[in-house]
Amino acid sequence: MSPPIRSSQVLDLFATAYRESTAALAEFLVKYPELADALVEYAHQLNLQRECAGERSITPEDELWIEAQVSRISAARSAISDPFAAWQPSQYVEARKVLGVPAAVLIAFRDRLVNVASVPLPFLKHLAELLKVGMADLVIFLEGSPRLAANTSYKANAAPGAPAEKADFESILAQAGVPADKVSALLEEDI
Amino acid sequence: MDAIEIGRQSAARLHDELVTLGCDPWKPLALVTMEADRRGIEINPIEAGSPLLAGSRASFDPLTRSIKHERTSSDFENAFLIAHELGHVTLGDDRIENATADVDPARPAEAAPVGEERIVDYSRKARREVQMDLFARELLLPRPTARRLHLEAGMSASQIADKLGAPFAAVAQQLLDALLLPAVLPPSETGPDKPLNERQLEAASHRGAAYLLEAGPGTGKTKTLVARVAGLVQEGVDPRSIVVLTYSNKAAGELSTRLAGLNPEAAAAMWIGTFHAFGLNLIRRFHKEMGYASEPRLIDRPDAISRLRDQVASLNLTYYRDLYDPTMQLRDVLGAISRAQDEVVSHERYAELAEAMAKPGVDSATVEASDKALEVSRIYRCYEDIKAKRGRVDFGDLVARCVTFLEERQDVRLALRAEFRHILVDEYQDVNRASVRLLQALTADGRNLWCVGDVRQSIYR
Repeated sequence: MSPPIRSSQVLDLFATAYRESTAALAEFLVKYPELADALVEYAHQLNLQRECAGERSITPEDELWIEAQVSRISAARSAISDPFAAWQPSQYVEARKVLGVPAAVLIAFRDRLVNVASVPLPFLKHLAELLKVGMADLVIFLEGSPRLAANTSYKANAAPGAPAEKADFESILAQAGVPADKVSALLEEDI
Repeated sequence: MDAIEIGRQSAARLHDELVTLGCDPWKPLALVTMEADRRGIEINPIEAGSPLLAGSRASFDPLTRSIKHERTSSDFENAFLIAHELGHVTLGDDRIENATADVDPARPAEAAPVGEERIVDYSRKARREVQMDLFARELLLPRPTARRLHLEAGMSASQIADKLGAPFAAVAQQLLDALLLPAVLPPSETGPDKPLNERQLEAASHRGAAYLLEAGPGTGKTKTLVARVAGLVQEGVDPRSIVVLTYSNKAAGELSTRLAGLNPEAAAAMWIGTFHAFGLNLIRRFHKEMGYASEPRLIDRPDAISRLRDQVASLNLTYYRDLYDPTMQLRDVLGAISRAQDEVVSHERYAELAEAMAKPGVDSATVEASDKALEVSRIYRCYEDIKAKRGRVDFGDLVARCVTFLEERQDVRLALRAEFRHILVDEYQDVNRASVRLLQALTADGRNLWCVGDVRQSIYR
């Protein structure tokens, strides 16, 4: 099995590809959505370098172009539909068994409470397969802000709300009472 | 009987059923776990303060069929949190709302804020939450059991609490309810005594546009209303989306009892109560949006008079000045303010109307009436300040305040219209402007509004 590619290597490959064609940005964003911010920033820098090499400063048109591209990417992200939207109770029950986690952990994914970078790839892959979506789409969805589930009945002292920050997968598992040996198994990176 | 009592009786029946199946009534956690298992619900204890709890102590998610609860050191407390959520499961919240999936040819074009844009309102004092807390207490220690343990087995509240692992206060409260409150008999499980006649059936089956059933005494108005509600539930309408409003607690109690006789779980899930109780529940739920720092408390008439009496000397009154005993004058003025609230007239508008009375050329009696009304408007303004500073609402506010709030906030209005799809009003002859405007806010052009009344019995005649 080949070792996972490091983010610095991805950015190097991107720099080479982008110099040949700016279409590389779209390709890399689809392949490495978790590096979207870094890729966009790098593309910006490469454009700057290119402009500076020609001794031409950035024009307002360039700024507008960059802004438009950033907006386009943001819009593409927000257009990703909710992969959990069509799930019925029986599918949650099935996923609980297949993934070996309590319902609270599945809810954490559905409500985007998990820091996606902390989730081992094998687990994400399993989840994406169960949801019948691509990994890239699942990652983009999970990168959205935490949300408060509809349809849920709460007992609280004050109005419940979505947490402001996401939590790491390991911490979510521990808070949901998953035993330590099970947590270790779920954190395995090997498929 | 009301929705809370219906819920308690349902919990007591469930307790008995679980004990019959072999569950030890002294092990509350085992009791609720057994019921969750029977319903295929997973229980997830969660570390207190975890983001998984979203700021709550417990929750029930019908999609994942799971209950999350704060993991406490007490089995009883854990069981209580689970039992509260089992109340939601049992009393109508074990269904997945899917507004777009329901076929509704008359669906309004304006969409209610749903999903992530929806308004998150919550009050632990909202009727539904109180209902679930009492369901939980009743499931863990039914009143008949508490009564029997005390009177027949000679156990004190402390002894029961020790054996159950429960807080003394919870057991004592349950025991007091069992011993001191009159027992409410379960409603008999009977349908409508006689089938509806043709005209009653036509009225009960009406769907869509607003409908007013006008009929005299003894013509089966209440029977028709009950049949309509039963018909809606039979058609698959979510009982939580049905609201039955009345003008008296007595009428609400009678309707609850009749509906509980037909379908106790549905009766526990729908709203049956007075306009004022409905308004109080809305104020509790949306108190933050209404600008209150915390859930406002009710101010009663003696308290209002007492607080106004301290302020009235600074209002420079002439007609309503009584230095010796301002109480009587203030009682009359508060009556006038209450009537203004029924008409949704603010103190500013009251002053405008009072000034408009004294047009040039009117007689001296009208001028005096105008001056008197202006004095009332000053007292009205002072009274509003007192309530605002102290975070209080009065009886008149319960409907009027909701009307002004809902008329200002389209998002909340649409959310409530999506939540309450069928509104029925008993004794419609007693409506005032505030209740009419509340109904207008809660319905889209009166759609699915169904009223019954007899103008000859109106309190305003």
